[in-house]
Amino acid sequence: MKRTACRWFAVGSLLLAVLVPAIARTRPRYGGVLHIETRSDPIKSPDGIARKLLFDTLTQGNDSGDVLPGLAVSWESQSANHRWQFHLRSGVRFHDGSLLTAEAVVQSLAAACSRCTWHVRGVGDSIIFTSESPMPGLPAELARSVYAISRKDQNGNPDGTGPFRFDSASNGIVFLSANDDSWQGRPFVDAVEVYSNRSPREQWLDFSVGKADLVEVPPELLRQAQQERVPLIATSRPTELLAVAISDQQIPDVHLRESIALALDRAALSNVIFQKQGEITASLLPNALSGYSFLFPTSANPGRSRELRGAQSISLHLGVDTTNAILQLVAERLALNLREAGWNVHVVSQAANLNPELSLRLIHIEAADAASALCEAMQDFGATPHEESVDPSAVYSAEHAFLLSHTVVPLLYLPKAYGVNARVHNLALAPDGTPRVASLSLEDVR
Amino acid sequence: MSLRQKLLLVFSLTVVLAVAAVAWIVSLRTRQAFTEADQKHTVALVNQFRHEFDGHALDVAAKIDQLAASDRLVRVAYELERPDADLSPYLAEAATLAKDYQLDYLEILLPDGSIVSSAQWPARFGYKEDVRYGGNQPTFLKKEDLSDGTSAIGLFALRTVRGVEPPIYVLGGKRLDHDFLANLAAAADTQVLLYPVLTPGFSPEQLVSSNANVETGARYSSIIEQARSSGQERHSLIYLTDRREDSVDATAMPLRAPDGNVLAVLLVANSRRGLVELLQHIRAIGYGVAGVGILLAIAASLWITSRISSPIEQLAAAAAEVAAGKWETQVEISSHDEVGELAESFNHMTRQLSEQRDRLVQSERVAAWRELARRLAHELKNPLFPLQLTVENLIRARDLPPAEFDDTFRESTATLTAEIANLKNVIARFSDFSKMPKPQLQEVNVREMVEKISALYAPARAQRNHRLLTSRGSAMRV
Repeated sequence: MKRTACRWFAVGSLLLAVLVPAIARTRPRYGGVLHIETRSDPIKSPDGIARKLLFDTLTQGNDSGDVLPGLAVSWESQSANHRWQFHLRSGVRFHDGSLLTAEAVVQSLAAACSRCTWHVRGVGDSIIFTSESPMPGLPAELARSVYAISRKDQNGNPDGTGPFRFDSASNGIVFLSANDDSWQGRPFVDAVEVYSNRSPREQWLDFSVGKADLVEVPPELLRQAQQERVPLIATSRPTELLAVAISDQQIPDVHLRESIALALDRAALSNVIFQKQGEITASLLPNALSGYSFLFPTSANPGRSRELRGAQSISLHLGVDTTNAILQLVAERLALNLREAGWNVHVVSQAANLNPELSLRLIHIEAADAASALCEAMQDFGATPHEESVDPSAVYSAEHAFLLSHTVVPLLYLPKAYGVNARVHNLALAPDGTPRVASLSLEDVR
Repeated sequence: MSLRQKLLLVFSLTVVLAVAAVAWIVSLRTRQAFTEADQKHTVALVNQFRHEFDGHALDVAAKIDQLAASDRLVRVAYELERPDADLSPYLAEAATLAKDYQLDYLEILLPDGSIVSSAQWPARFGYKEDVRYGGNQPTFLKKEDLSDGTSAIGLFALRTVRGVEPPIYVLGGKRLDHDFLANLAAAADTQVLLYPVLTPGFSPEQLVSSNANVETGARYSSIIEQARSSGQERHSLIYLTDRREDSVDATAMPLRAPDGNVLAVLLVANSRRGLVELLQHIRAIGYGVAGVGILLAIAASLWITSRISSPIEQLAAAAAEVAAGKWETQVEISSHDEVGELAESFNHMTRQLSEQRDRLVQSERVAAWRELARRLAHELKNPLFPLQLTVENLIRARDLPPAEFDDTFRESTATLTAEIANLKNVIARFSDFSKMPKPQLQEVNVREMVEKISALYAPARAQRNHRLLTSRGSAMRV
């Protein structure tokens, strides 16, 4: 009997020895410093990682496209969506300790919104939005990071209500520390170091040697990363739109713009340059968001392009961010397509040539619903947003009407992916592809 | 111009011409010698450059051979041979391989020439290259269009990847640009230039050298155009600036594509600065020597002319003195040559002249005295004869009556007195012959006299611009 008890005790001890560490491994731990590398400016860029960590928005979107409370706990519309009232969350403090007030929110929104059609004011702990046109998608629109509530502290450093506070920035590295008083709760990691302006190759090298925990994996390297079994996390739907903007001021003839659009071969870009990781599109919204993307023809038609161009010999400049090698490659390929259709195209640096006839743009679609995403995309291309409507047919009509002007030629939708170090746990991506750093934890924390 | 000046001029001119002729001949011969040496040097450089160029071509060929046989490319080729081959993973393959093999151009081509991967223009995937372009040549020149809209010339080699059928091609090469030129070993004073034929006309901006852009590119237009149009090697002397030392011996070599078109012109420009500076140095020395020679020649001429002309001048002066009546003039005999003999003859001549003159004077004097004596005798005879007759009458009248005697005596004494007076007069006139006539004082008008005298000299006064000033007062009588 005693012998049997000893056996059971031994087996139990063995099970405990095996199971306890396993349970301990899955439980998030506080502490550690997360190293992130990114190509863009982590604060100034609308989809910058540090921006999402420092600042909060009034609302938030989830993967399903639902709008959830953020700094605003509730909101209601009046006057057939011409007036919206958002109630601020109480007790929220900025990183410098001051309370979040309606005045601060109004100031931040006014600074961020130069082309908005609505007017904003603060009343008590509420924010009132009014507009001459109905704004059915305003709660979703306010979830965009461009409308994040931010301000500058006494030292001129960014100050917000996000889960991390700004510590310092030097040599392209932004140092953030955990905000213990965050209304969302303290993040698991103690600090985040964001290395900016790192090329994909540099990020890849740092990730390979374990120097970086989280790096961007551009679409053209995604396949290689998958083949090499690199731990990846990617968005379920593409969030980056690659498109060519055509200046209607410099090319006023819509037929010429259509000729340009018809000359562009999307398949070669998707199949070869982006290693079949992109989604060929001729619409502004991805099919996953709109459901009607397939209605827009995507195939190139050089013959028809030549017909529309006629005998005109026009020299065009295709502006591109030449610091981005893959965009440069895409621009050169598009220039080849256009030359094949009889256009004389030169690829130029967008920084050097501020007013090219054509511009290759890679824009980030943050909104999780079709109407807001279309609004966002049109705003990014400098167009006046359509009258907001959540009705899919109205959204389609608006997009179709906009694309008929041929001032924007959508090419590809690209996913956003990150290489994740094995020591990072519980990392999830927001619908727009931004990592939810506040919810992750690090494994080897002591 | 005096004899001395003439002699000096003749001597100086002779020496100057002689020195100039010698200097010109030396300069000409030197230039010819150096030009020949320079041409040999240029030919050697061109040959050396050809050797270097061929070496680089072999290097390109060796790299492409090595690449075509590499396991990595063979693996890629086998992957590409699959029916459902996905080409996209190899988009950057050419760029990576080009970097590894230090090639400027590299393309991986499918059997139909479709580009799988291009190092120089990655966006050109799917477009086709002519895989028959190079023929069977191990290396060839090719004009390559680039992504920025420009074109460049490259030295290419085309190979098939080892052991793969149908063939997968690898087309690679090096760009013919300033880096390529910089890798070619060239002498310090030799510049290697390349003109890629990218446009129909000559464009000096396209001319590249191993170190920098060529500022004087337009100067090469002629030889480049000649080589380009003829397709043959051309040599020319080219002045890069107005200065002679900024000139080069240029050799233009057309570089042809497999189809025979001239794709580029290679220029080997051998600087003539050293040669020109050496020639200028020699010329400067020649001028210096000639100058010193001319000065020495002038000094020698002065000495020689003085040696020759001085006795002649003395003779001329002596002759002038003789002409002036100084017949006893003698010259110094300072040499024993012809001039000395001439001087001795001159002295002899003047001596004889003096002697003859003395003899002539003596004879004239004697003759004059004889004439004088004859005339004196004649003059004296005339009164003497009446005196003799009168005396004889008186002698005879002594016999006559006193009255008659008295008459006769009176007449005779009167006659005697008159004849004696006549004799005195004759003697007085002889005596006056050697005296100046006595001035006869009379009153004259001084002004008239001065004007009459000045009238005699009027032409001389007019010639010398002299004026006679006279007073308008009353005539002064003296």
